[in-house]
Amino acid sequence: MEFSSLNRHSYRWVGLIISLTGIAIFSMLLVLDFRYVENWEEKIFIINHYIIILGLVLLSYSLEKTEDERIRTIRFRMLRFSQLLTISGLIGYAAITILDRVEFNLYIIFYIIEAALILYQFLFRLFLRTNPAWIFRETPTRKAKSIIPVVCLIFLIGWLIYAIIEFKI
Amino acid sequence: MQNSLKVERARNNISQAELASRLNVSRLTIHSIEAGKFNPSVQLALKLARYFNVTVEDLFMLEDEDL
Repeated sequence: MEFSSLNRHSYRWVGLIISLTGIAIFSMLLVLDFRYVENWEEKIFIINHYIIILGLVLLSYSLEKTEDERIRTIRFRMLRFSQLLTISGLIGYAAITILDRVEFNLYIIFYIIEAALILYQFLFRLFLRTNPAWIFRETPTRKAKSIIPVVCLIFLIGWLIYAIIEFKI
Repeated sequence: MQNSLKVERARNNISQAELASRLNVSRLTIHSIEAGKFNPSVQLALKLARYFNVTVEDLFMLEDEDL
């Protein structure tokens, strides 16, 4: 069976080292209340977030030592969940920023991506060991099928209520 | 879907880990198939049947709800 779209298993360790180094530097910068030459402080933080995300992506898209179809199924389901979480987070944050409820902050975008990737890692490792039966079910239950349309409908109704109140339509 | 993998494994006196190693899958994959949690692909089903020298139908059986 071919898994050519994923990195070799050894990349997992490279990804782990890169992301842990990034997280360690980030923690150190925060703890030491790092101050550098003007305009550089922010650049260091941004580069550091890029390093963390790069490491987490390498970690997420690397093969396991013994790769098989069960692992591939769990990975696919968890990556799909992680992707949904990232898109929802980014759209949600964009929506509240557009509505002028909060000021746009680039770091929030980084935090959303990093949180989704870390959560993916946690759930993927957890389900690899616990092996829950529901994760392998081919057809989702009726209840699970209706979750996304219901969430979209609630979001749409919320948006309409907001628009009616705010803009007095 | 039901399967007789555990029976065949016992008959051939082979552990989950050993079978997993022979078929190049993880031990938990064999465990999941035996427990009926995970349905293997046609490729893996054929590999298992070939290993135990039985037909796929002898190893995996459809239940009424699958029909």
